[in-house]
Amino acid sequence: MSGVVHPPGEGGKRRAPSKRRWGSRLVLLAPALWLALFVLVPLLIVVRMSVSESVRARPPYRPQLPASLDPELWREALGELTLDNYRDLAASSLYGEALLTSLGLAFVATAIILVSGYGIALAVARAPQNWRMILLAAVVLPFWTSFLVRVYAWIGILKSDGWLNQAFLALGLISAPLAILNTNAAVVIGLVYAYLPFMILPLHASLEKQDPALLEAAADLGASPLRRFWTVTVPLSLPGIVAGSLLCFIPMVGEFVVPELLGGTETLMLGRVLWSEFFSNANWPLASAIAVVLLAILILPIVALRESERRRQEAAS
Amino acid sequence: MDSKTIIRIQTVTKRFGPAVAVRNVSLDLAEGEFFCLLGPSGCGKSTLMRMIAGFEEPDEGRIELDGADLVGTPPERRPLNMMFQSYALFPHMTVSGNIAYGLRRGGLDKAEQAARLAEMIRIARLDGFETRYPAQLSGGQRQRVALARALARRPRVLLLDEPLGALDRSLRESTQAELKELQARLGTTFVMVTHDQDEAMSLADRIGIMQAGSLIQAGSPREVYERPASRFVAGFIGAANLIEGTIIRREPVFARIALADGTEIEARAETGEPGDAVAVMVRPEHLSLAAGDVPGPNRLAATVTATAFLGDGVSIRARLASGQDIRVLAHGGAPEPLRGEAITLAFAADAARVVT
Repeated sequence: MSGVVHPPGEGGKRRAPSKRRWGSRLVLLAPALWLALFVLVPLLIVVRMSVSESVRARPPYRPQLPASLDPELWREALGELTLDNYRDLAASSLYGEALLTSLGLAFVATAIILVSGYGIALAVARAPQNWRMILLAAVVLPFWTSFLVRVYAWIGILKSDGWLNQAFLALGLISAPLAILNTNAAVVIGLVYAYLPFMILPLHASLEKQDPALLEAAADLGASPLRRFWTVTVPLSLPGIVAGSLLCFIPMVGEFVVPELLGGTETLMLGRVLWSEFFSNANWPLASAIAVVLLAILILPIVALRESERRRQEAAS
Repeated sequence: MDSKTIIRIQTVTKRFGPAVAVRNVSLDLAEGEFFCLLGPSGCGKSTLMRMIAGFEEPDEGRIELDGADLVGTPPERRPLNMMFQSYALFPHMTVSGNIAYGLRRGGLDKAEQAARLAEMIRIARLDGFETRYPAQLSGGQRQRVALARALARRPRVLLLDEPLGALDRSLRESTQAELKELQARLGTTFVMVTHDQDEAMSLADRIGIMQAGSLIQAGSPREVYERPASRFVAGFIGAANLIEGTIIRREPVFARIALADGTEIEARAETGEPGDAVAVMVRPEHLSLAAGDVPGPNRLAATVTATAFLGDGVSIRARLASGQDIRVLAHGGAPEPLRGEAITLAFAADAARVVT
């Protein structure tokens, strides 16, 4: 590309005096401390536990880290750390299956949430100004009730003599009740219901700020309503799509309440496995290893996404 | 204009709730002309243009293109294109992507599309910027991308909504010349909306002046300047002195008007009956300083309140006996009157017009 002048507003132009930079560093210190205290430290504890050994004791793992600074004791303790838990995870097909089930169900639910949430977000964003706040409030309203209660209520809807089956029977759509509860389908229904608002809110934010003149320009240039949607509305809402999908997908993979209440024995999701390792088997180290693996798997796509975003921006400038 | 009519607007009215945005407008646009819709903001000029583009539908009346009614046809099926005031460039597409957007459904094969894109890039002087995104362009470059995108489909009519409004003054003047030259070269009918009368005067073959939803007058820049249809037009196009008076005698071409202080003047008149309260429009450049007490027709006594030397002339502000302020543009080496000096202003009856 021709090396023409740099576009305005880009390139380094500010260099604040060092005094002011110290001020802004101080401001950054508070969130940095927060993150260190409530994210980094707990994460290190979990990682450290995941390379420990399960024992029948209190606390139920070893080695214990020495209280003194004696290097001999530390060397001994660190020497006892082990990757056995990760080996166990890799060796047993149970955990792999649970991971695949979790990822699969979360993926299906995210896809359903994306499609239905997009329609709702679009409808809200295109609604008259005075309606938007009311519609958004309706989206957020379920949060006023406990998550557990709302998911529990679905049992009453989905069970074999529940409302859904009774309605279908009354309408003559089916002749015998469908077995929905305690299946993967029920889990997906529950996940879609529970996480839909987390998709609608970021989608609405990115759709609402789109300039309506862009759609008019596309129409003016001969694009049908469908083509306008795919070439203008969707690409410009990509940040909302990504944010909403991550906000749904990530917590759904580790979700415990929905599969526990609505799923059956076949629904082996990582959240349940983790729970049973932790509370039923009191195997804290293995549960920690599961948590670490899950974290790694969920962080990878985000890192990859940010990397590609950064490259794209570099290529553009 | 003797070429054929391309767009015919017939008794079009558009309401937004109780407000009437466009009121019973009828207008014919000739093929190949550069037409400017001119008026203050909120006069309905943009709404009229949006109805031609298809973004709004008229409540009453018809809009025809080449004799076929356009009402009910969605914008994507109208063979005309619009350049938006905000440019409305697609921020996620490159310069090439923006310009080629309308070509995909234009019935052209790939090679023709590529050729057309290259042609538009060249016309808009955007060579080397094909892969840039709109955010990486200057205001002038964005304006040219918007123009190229709207012209790429070779529309029957190009609609331009305040196309130069976002440019700074110096850029605006050079862009005006380019726009005019481009229009003459392509021969495309241009319909432009603007609130800037200088822009309309310098670009348009014909100007349509709108006020409060109505089309007041349509004509060449010279016509609307010399023969304004109303006080509003006289005041909106160029500087005008409007001297209030009453018609006392009417002749075929001229009328005799008595001012409040008893002074009688003569002016061209197309309307008005004796007894009508009217205004006589005299442009500042048609007023001259008359020598002292030499009697003659169309003399106005005034007192100088301010003067300004303009290089090629002198701008004088003076006050008539009635208390009305008046502007004079005296040319050449006329002696500059002093502030407070009593002067006599003269004008030719031919250069003055009765407006109602």
